[in-house]
This record gives sequence, structure tokens and C-alpha cells, in this order.
Amino acid sequence: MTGLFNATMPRRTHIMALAAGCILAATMAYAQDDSGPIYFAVASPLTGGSAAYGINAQRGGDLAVEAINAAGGIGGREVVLEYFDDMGTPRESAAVANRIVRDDKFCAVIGHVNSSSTLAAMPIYNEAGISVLNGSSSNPSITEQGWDNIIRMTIRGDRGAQQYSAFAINNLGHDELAIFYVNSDFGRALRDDMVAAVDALGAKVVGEETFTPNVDRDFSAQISSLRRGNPDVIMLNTDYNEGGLFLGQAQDRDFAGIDVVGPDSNLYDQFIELSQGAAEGAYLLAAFDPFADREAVKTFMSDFEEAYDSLPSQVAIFTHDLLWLAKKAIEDEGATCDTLIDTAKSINFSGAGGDYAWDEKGDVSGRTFAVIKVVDGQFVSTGQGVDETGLEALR
Amino acid sequence: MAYVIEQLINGLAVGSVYALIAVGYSMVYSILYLINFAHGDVITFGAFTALTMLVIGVPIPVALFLACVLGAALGMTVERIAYRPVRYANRIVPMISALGAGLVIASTAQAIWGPEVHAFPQVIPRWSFELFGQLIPFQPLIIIAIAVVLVAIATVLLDYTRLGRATKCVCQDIHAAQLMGIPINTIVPLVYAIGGFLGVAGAILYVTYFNAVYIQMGLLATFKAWSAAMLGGVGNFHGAFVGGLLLGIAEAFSVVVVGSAFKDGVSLVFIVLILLLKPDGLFGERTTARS
Repeated sequence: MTGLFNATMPRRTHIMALAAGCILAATMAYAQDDSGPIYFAVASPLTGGSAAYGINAQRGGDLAVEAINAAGGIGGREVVLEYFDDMGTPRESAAVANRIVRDDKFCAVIGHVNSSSTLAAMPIYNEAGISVLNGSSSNPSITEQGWDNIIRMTIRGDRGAQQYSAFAINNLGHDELAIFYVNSDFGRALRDDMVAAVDALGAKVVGEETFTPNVDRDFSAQISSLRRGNPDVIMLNTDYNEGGLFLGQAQDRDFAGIDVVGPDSNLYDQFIELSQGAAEGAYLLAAFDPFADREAVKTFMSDFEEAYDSLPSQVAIFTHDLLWLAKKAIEDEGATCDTLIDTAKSINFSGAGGDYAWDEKGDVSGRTFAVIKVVDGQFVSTGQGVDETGLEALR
Repeated sequence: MAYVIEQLINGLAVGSVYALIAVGYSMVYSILYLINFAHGDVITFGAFTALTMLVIGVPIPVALFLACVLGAALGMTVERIAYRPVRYANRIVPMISALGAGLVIASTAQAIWGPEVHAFPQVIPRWSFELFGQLIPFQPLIIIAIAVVLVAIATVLLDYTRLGRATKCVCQDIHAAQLMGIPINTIVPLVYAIGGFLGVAGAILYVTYFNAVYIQMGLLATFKAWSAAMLGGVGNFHGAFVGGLLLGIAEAFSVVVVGSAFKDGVSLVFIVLILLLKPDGLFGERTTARS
């Protein structure tokens, strides 16, 4: 046995090393209280099936921190991000949350991404009283639990479904809708909320079909069935692969003249590519407008492009904006790490992803989706907003 | 009524795609009583090769034919490397070696073409025409026709040629066939080749009709084709074809009758029911497995 090299080390060395470690840790914890770095924990899936979200969170975060530190940090203190991998699973998210609150050095948590992760981690953050700045978790129940230490950037799922419906009915003037949705938590919730919203707006669902994600690639039977209802508009509640394939497969089925409205899970170049031209004229409603003609967006997009040679997703831009929000709240509004959430709820904030304000529960208020349209095989911003007339009854 | 006909066309089109792939499985099974686990990956590789050739501008018929020939060659290679050395070993052994061969092919494909879903050029245009006031899509009809013609050619090959008769002998008893002077090391690879050729043809129709080519399609095609082969009677050439068509029709009509959420479930329940009534499949003959 050669592995027991420690046996030759005097016992006292261990104790001294331990003591030195404790002193060092205590000093660091003390230092962060006034002039040392200010720490944020970024929790997102860096591995597993939704790793693309985590990578976007990391990129958006790094980009923001670089700019913030170049501009003097937050209140003169250097900003340091520590990334935690929640693997997109509730179990790992709870473990990550415990690690974060035990560390006691973090000013706030930025995350998680997947709704199920946020729901699993929130009770732990709430008990510890740490502020949670959430970007992309859209499950409505997150802000319905009475947790007072969270705000989120994205529009919650049920209001999203209401806005998609309102856009098809109020903006486009249609009253017969067909719904094609992915048979998952996301798709079914969207479908249920959409049916309720369509009803409240006085329109009608004339057909609905679904498919098993990652298994079904043949949509011909669903296409024939949806066509039979003679809809004015197809609500494409899918991700970009299935959305693109659906439109491609539907092009010989007399779908010309039927509008297409979808969420921003379709907002990827593959959507246009896979549709083989059939996505022309489709409307996608996005939580932020990456193509908007605003200086802040253009700067963010070109910086991101330059640094990573890819398009940022909403996870990237929300992580980025949340850090700037923390800077603004602490520097300009006199918030501390503990009062970050209350302060944020009382202010208006303008970031690369647009303007934000929050209600008592921590949901963004007064924010509607950006309307993106496919024109000549490219996504373009229409600059339109969603006409929310008639949705008051549902809120 | 028009709606029922349209769904029937949908079902037949996707069914003939399943059928072409299932035939390849079934032929190999009938000879060696082994599931060719590499088949799905062979046909994926063939479809990706067709895509690349089309993108670089090879004329459509040439590109598609070459891709099918590549499928045949890959099938023979798999037989030579993963099956022949272990042909008489315990059945677990060739199963594992075929899974390994499939993994190598799939990983190579992923290394070359990446994990994304790619669009496939429309080699059969998506036109439609009106018949008795009903809009009939053109592409599914062509797909059905191509499948029928290919299977008819394979039938002639198997039923009316010396090669076909030799194949049947090998099916009945590989050892006796060898003793009678049938060159089994020529016949068996040829069966893999025909399976690979038809499989890639099926895969090309699959990616044309679904409009997408992707790495995982091999697994999905394996699953569907194997279900179809079970339904028709494993080891039966025409049974596998009819089984594929029936599976496609069952899928289309489960959308009509029960709803699309249960599309895969319903078609599998349908298969289970048929197998309960006819355990050897619709056209299967009761056989006892050789050890």
C-alpha cells in the first residue's frame, strides 16, 4: 500500500492547516461585507439535455460582468460570478440551492432556468432569505406561492398563452384557431391556457392535434385532421424542429392563406430551414426582440456575436440584464443584497432585452411579446406589440 | 369520405416507408434468426450520404442510386465484420457485435454530419391535384408506387431466380445448404446487401416525406420497422411489407379515431392484439427457433 502517504505527515500539520483554512475563510467572508468582491451565484443546467440554456446563461453572465467591472463594478466592488450546474433536474437543483445558501457569501442567486428546477430550489432560498433573480422560468405557479424573495424577467406561461391567442384574434383578426402542440408539460399547459383565452376572447378552437416530442416526425395525419377544421390560423406550440417540419410537410395540403403564430421556442434558424420555404410569413412571439432597432439590443447582439459567434437566446439576455438590474438597484436606488427584490419591484428598469417593471408577486407587468415575422427567409422585427384587449377578464 | 381517403393515403405512404425498411430486417432474420441491430444505422448513413451528394450537385437519380448501393455495401461489410466471424456462436454474441457495428456507423455519421436535424431536398415535388373536388397530395402516391415497384422487383429476384432459390435453401437449413454446395458466404452477404439497398431506399423516402434527416432516425426506423415485421410475421418477406402498410394505416387512423396524443400507443396496442390472436404474426408460419 503506497496510498497512505498522509500517515507520514505529522498530525499537528493537519490541525494547523485546518485552522489556517478557517481563518482564511472567515477573513474572506468578512471582506465581502464591505469592499471585497461582490458574489453572485448563477444556477443553470450546464450539462444534460438542456445544457444549451446553461451555456447561454454563462455567456450572457460573463458578457455582463466584463462590462460591469470595466465600468467600476457595483458600488466600486468587483463582481464575481460563480456558476452552479443544476443539470436541469429538480433533485440536483435542490442540492445546488443548499450549497449556495450554506456558502453565505452570495449577494443573490441568478437562476434557475427550467421551471421545475426553480420550483425545487425556491423553498430553500426562501427559508435562507436570499434574493433570487430569475430569468426564464415561466411556470405560473412560481410566483403564486407567496415567496417574496423572487422576481422574474420572462412573461409567465399562462399570460404567454393569452398573448399568443390575443395576437391571433385581436391583431390578425381571426376567429377560428387550430392548435398544434407538443405533448409535454410545456405544450399541454400552453394548450390549456390557450383554449381558455380563446374562449374569453370570443373566438373558437376548430381543431387541435398533438405529437410525442422526439418520436413523431410524421405529421401527415395531424395535418389532414387540422386542415379539415378550416382554421384561419395555426397556433404552432412546438419547438423549432417540429415547427419547421410541420410547415414543410403541410405545404402540399392546401395551407396557403392560413396564418401561423408560434412562441419563441421556434425562433431558431433551423425553423426556417426545415420548413423549406413554408415558414414565410409566420409570426413568432418572443420574450425579447433580438432584432429590435434599439441601441442597447444592437450592442448586446454584436458583442455576443463577436465573443461567441452565435445568436443569444433569451436565457443569455435575461442573465445579462439581471446583473445590470442588480447594479442599478444597489448603486442608484441604495438597495442592499437583502432588499434587492423589494427595490426592484419599486423601479422601472431598461436593459438590452427591453423595459421591465415588476408587480407585487414578482412577475413582469405591462410587458408584451415582441412580434417577429419571417420575411424572405429571415426573421425580422415587426415593431408590433400584442393588442391585449379582452384579456383583463382572465387576470 | 374524402377525409377518410386522405388519411388512408397518409397511412399508406408512411406505411410503405416502414415496409421497405422492415423487409430488410425480415430477410436477415429469416436466414440467421438474428435481428440486424446495425440496419437502422446503415440506412441513416445512406440517407446522409444521399443528402451530401444532392447538396454538392450530383444528379438526383444518380445520387439516390449510389446511396442505395452504398447501403448494400455497408450491409455486406457489417455481415463480413460483425456477423460472419461469430455466425455459429451463441446468439448473444452476434447481437452484441452488431450493436457495436451500429454504434460505430452512427458515431461516424454524427462526427461527419453533426447531431442536428437537417432538411432534405424535395426529390419528389410536393404538388397536389384535385380529384372529384378533393385535393389529393401527389408525393405520398409516388412514395407508395416506388415502394411497391421495389418490393415487386425483390419478389421476382427471390422467387424466380437461382439466387432466390439458393436463398430459400439457406433459410430452411443453412448447414444442409452448405453441404449441398450452395455458397453460403455469397448468399448471406447478398441478403444483407438487398436488405441494405431496400433499407436505404426506404430511408430516402422517409426523409423526403418527413422532410428531415437526423442521426436518431435509425433508432426510430428500427422500432417502427421491427413492429411492422412482427405484425406481418417475422421472417416473412411479404408479411413484413403488409405489416408495414398496416402499421402506417393504424397510425393514421388512430389520429382520426382516438386522437394524436395516443398515435404511437394505439398502433402498438393494435400490434399486441394481433399477436395475441396470431402469435406468429399475420403471415408467419409456426417455427421453432434453432439454437
